[in-house]
Amino acid sequence: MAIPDAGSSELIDAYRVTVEDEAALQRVTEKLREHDCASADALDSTMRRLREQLPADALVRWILTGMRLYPNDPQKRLCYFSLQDARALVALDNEARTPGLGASSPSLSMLLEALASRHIRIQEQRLDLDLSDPLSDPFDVVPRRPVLSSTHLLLPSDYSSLDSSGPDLLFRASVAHAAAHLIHSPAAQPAGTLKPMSLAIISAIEDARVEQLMMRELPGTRAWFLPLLKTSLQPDGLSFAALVSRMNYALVDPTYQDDNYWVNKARTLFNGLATSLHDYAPFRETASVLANDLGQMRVRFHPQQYVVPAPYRDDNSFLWTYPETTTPQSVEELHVESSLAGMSSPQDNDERVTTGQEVRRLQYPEWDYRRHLLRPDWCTVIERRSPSPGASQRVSAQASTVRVKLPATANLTRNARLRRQPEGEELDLDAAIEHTIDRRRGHSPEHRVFTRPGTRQRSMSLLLLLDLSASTGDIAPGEGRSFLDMEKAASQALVQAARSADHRIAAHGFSSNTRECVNYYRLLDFDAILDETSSASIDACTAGYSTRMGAAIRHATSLISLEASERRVIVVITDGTPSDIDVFDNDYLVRDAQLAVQDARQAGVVTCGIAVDEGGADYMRRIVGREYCRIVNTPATLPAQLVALFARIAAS
Amino acid sequence: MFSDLDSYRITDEPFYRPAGDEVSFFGHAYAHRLPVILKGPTGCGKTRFIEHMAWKLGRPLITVACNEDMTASDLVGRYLLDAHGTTWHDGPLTTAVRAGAICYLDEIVEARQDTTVVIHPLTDGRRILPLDKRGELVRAHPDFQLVVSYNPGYQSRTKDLKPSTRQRFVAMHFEYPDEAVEAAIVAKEADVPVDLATQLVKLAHRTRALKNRGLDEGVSTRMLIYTATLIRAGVDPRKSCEATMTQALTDEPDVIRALRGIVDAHFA
Repeated sequence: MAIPDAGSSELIDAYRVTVEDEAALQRVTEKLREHDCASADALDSTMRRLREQLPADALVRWILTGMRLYPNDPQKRLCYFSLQDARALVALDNEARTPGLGASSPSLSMLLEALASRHIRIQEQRLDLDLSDPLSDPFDVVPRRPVLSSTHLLLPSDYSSLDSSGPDLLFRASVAHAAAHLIHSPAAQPAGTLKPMSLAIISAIEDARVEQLMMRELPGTRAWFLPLLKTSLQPDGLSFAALVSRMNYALVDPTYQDDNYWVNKARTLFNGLATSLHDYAPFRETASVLANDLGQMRVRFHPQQYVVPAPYRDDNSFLWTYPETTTPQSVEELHVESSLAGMSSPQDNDERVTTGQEVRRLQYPEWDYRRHLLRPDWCTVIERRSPSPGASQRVSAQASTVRVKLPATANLTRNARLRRQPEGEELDLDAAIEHTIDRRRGHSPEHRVFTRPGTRQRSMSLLLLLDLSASTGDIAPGEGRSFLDMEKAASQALVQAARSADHRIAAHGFSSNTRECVNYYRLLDFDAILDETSSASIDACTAGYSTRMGAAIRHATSLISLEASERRVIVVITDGTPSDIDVFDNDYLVRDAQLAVQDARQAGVVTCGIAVDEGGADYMRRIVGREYCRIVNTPATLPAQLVALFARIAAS
Repeated sequence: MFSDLDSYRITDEPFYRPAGDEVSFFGHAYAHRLPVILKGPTGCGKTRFIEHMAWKLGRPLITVACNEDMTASDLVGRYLLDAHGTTWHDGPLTTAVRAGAICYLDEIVEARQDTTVVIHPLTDGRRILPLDKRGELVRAHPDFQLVVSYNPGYQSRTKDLKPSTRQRFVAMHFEYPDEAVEAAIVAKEADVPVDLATQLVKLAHRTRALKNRGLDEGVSTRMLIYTATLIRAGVDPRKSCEATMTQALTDEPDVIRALRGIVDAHFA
């Protein structure tokens, strides 16, 4: 039911989102003035206090709450906006306490995965204010409902305190309801010639059926659904939505008394089928009967205005497929969003990425596995200066906030023996003799008579090799920032931790544009001092082009081989399989990278890989070997995984 | 130090509910004294299985929980001082080798690799244990068997078994038992009704789906037994899950919230 505007593509940029929030707030306040001058004045006078407590997006929700609470009562509305109304304060408090979907989405997505036993992405469905259209009115927008597809669950961000006492409960209920559909509902049934009202009733009965199954399986979910159905209940209403809300509630709460014949009929019919909840067909028949009754009762149905009454239930587009012409917008939206995310970023970024100034060119071979041939001097690696910090205005704010701590990496060494220890592997001969002498002389002997090996930290040089290809510029699902930003933040954190633990560490990046041009950026060298300039140069690198990993690893190997440490390690961080525009065989670059890693190992350089990839990232396992590989499913854990990998390298 | 072997004998049958043919398989391995690796996730019943087998085969069981600081002499033995000078004390491994016990090295990857090489001569055709500090070569008792366990699961593992070590073993893979068996185990061990046990097992299955998505491992059978025990003792189910599952599994705030949601969904 939700119609995304063209601006929703801007979703992909967290930075722009904040700007958008501000613009939305401005639009909403302007519209409020058009509707009701007195309330707008009241809002102006309280604005300062409100801004102190709420960010822009929450404030927009708070204003909408006021408008939805008192659509036809200017007096009460005025009270609300001048904070004289108790409900205004409650709503304000609710918004202030709300962590927002962004903060809850990692845990919600885990919950959904656990309940539905499959991976469904959770995305935020932002308030669709069409800022480009001066005639659109935010107060006319119908409240949004979640949208479920076979891959995504979109949760609206405009849930307000009208819908539930806290968004936590709403989100949880949405997730449980979505899981119930995913497990029990037949998806994408042909809608055929069914009338919109029949579709709505069949959907409502289907909602109730799958929830019954869910509550049977997971009794705790009743406490999530019930209060929300109760909140959305319109006990005396006779409109279509009100009757549906009464039916919804009657089907869940057996103690609820309703005086409507139709509602009671629905309940009786539904309960009659309670023994065969797994069987979809009879419920559908029942629903058709009920829809027919409503038709005869002349209940009016307005498809444009109707939203599912319970705010946590999805819009049921999951259940239906429509004939070509009337594909519901929400389904299209999913495609639109993902294709934009993929397309727009390389375009903006390619222009910026070429700015790095060339330092030197080197030739490296490449392995052609089909011909079994190491093609000499096949790839040209161009070392470039890292783009100047000014090149990118957007510095990742989170970069500085991640802190990691490296585990102690001391290894036992036989070279350092600790003598006169209270316990240990062997007796310390001198101490044992003194012990015996003391005892014979009647003195109290010293009991520390053992030796054991001491510990020492082995020197290590670590080269972080960052994938800077175009795909890293995409916004990571549920993160609100790009993978590149997270890559930068994680490497900054590791660089700081490693430097403070006296390890030698460097951070380099690469991207490729055919074999003629493998860009290699020495963002931070081993000897470079870690200061604001150097961390700014890591922050400044941008995403663009492809991932020719083998050539980059060969160059990194030649650089790290100059290090004098006992152990030399390259850590490649990437978000996808190696690829380039002049290579059409998916396996080709993987095999080449594999050989580059083997050659490095021969030269005494260990290569490890971290792949941030929701798929299995099998390629990384093949390139570096199982024990040197780490697959990160949730990008947020990247710093932790880096540290764990570091610990493994240090311990092995 | 380990003179009184009787204390290592298992007199009462430890409860073990087989999930497959592991009992007879282990019997064959023991009949030929093949060293065995038990691998599988935490709390799936590896240790209980070996206790059961030791009882069934009538052998004493000497268990060593391996750790990072363990040295070869912690396994083999060392000289200590006493009133008359130095005396040799056998370590647990040597005791088992001499007496013909089953020696069980639990979580062997926790020990450093240079420690675990001392078991090499015991795990091939030679079946000997050289005590170089003492200048003695101990030939293994005919009943001696070496069993080790490890958990290949967690990604956070910093160590791994050397190929030269692991190739000396027959490896048996353990998994959490299927739903009905696991529920029966929980019901028996914690003495709770099967309904409750089944509900808990379902909960555990859902957390196991989160493996590698924030959790290193899901709720284990052992955890379920703890939870069920507390519930039987009268603790509120949610509280008992919070203590034995949610907080026990993770410190990540997001994961804790997700687990709380899962727990919440399971109890009316």
